[in-house]
Amino acid sequence: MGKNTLSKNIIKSFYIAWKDLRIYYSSPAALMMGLLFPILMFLTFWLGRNLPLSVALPGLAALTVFFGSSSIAVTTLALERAKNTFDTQISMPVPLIFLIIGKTIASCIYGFVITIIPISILALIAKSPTNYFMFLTALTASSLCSSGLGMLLAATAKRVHEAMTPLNIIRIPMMFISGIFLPIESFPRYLQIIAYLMPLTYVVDSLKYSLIMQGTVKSYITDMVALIIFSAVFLVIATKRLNDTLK
Amino acid sequence: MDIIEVEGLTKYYKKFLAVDNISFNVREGEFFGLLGPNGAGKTTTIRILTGLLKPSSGNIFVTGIDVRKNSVEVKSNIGIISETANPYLEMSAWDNLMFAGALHSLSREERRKRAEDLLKLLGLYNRRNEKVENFSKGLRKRVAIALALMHDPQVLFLDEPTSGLDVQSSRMIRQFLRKLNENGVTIFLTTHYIEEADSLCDRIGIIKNGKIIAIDSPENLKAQSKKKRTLEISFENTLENIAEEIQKLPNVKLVKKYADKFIIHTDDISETIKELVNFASKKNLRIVSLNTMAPSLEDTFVELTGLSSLELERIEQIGKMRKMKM
Ligand SMILES: Nc1ncnc2c1ncn2[C@@H]1O[C@H](COP(=O)(O)OP(=O)(O)OP(=O)(O)O)[C@@H](O)[C@H]1O
Ligand SMILES: [Mg+2]
Repeated sequence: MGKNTLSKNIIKSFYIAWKDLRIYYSSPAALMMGLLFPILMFLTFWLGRNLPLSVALPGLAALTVFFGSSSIAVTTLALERAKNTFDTQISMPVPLIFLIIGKTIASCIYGFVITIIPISILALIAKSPTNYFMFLTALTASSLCSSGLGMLLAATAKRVHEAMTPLNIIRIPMMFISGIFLPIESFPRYLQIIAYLMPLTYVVDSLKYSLIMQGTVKSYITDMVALIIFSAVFLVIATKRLNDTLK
Repeated sequence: MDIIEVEGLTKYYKKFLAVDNISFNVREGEFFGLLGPNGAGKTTTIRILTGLLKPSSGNIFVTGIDVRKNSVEVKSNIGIISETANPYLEMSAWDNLMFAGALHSLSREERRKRAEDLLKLLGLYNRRNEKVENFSKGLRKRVAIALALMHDPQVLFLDEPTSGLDVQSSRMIRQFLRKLNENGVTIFLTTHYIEEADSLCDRIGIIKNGKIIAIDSPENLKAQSKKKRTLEISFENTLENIAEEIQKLPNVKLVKKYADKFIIHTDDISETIKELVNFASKKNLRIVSLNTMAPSLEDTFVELTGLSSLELERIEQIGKMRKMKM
């Protein structure tokens, strides 16, 4: 009947994103978690060492977008179950993958916005050699991938903490071996391998190149490809896990 | 056409058999009720019919579409009010309806028109811009009903729509459902309130331990009850051995004495009444009361499910308490 065409489903995803942005992102708790935590972490680990602002920018941007998007992704999906709106949502004719996409769009927009504003201001102040086109592209891919990770973990959670705990178990160690505080090349071999299996490493690398021109175009392009593959895999698994909860 | 066709539906939760090979059909325009005690499998069944849960096996067609293969398309044709589903509390009733309308791909004008009509019908129009957070349980249920009706579905599914609501809200919702059904919407609801099923449904399926043990119109179900052949008589004065004497009358199966009354089970009510009157005048007994006991749906329900009335009452109480806590 052509009743549920691709374009209609994409429109539905945007309506879901819009609803989520309105409901969850005005919540102060979400804002605190997304914005304050990475900034505090960063201040603790970086500023003590007295390095120039521009060198600090990529790490700060990476933490903000990674923590912001993944926290909000977990919140928006798990809260549907916790607040008994999940049935209301899945009673509507939307394929699960487009439900996940809608929520991912919302989480991306959130991570993108909370990162772009402070980082752009700081980049201007520090007069860093930022390629803004590459920066926005890197930020989009990074927020997409971070949201995907959150979706994946929240797909089966009945309460927010059920997904937030495993998320923290994953992302806090990730933070230390992603190249934010120490260059990956200084790690032992096995840690380097682990680092290259983690999405945050590519987030950091792509932001280093686009914000302060550290690294190469070739590795920047590799980062983009890696982030897109990670995102696709995360979203597919998230949809599968969500589908499994209906069994 | 049968708008709901269920054949051999079975659902296991891990190894626990919650719904055991049930089959039934619901006709277009019918008001159908699934009645059963707590834990019977009502919610499991309705969730599977609406595509919110996957069956272990069985064929389910709703509005002619295979739910297992295309639950999204089924969802465009039906409205679902599940037991615990909330509207979005942080949004107004109006915005909730706009959201539902958008996900059903209604145009902006259609959405507004439909939301206005529904909110007026459900008595919510004046509070449409208030956050649903501020609404009582009964009002939230009405918003949930409006949400499920935005796209003018052919079938409306409701899981215990009035449980935990006060008398007034319940009555309002029942009247609304009746009107909806008169306008051609097929209704499928689950309930453990026997009177609710009796007063609303064209046909009732009684479910227990995951099996449908009877399915018929309320009147036919009542007629199944043993009580339809029961009389109750009491006399002003009394004699010894009355019970035994009555027992000897033709057609009488069983006589029991309760306080000053005799309960008489018979094969033929009409003949037994005549015999009893004869008997009384022969023995010089004055009849104080003679009643035929009208069978209620509750009698049939109790007999079929094997629950005593007392147990039934307790279960309903527990049900109410449990629902109210949520
Ligand atoms: N997710 C689940 N996992 C395991 N068992 C379940 C699950 N959901 C329901 N059950 C069990 O399946 C049986 C049927 O449950 P169901 O919720 O369908 O009953 P119900 O008729 O709706 O009862 P109620 O009147 O309490 O709502 C019950 O014994 C219940 O404990
Ligand atoms: Mg139930």
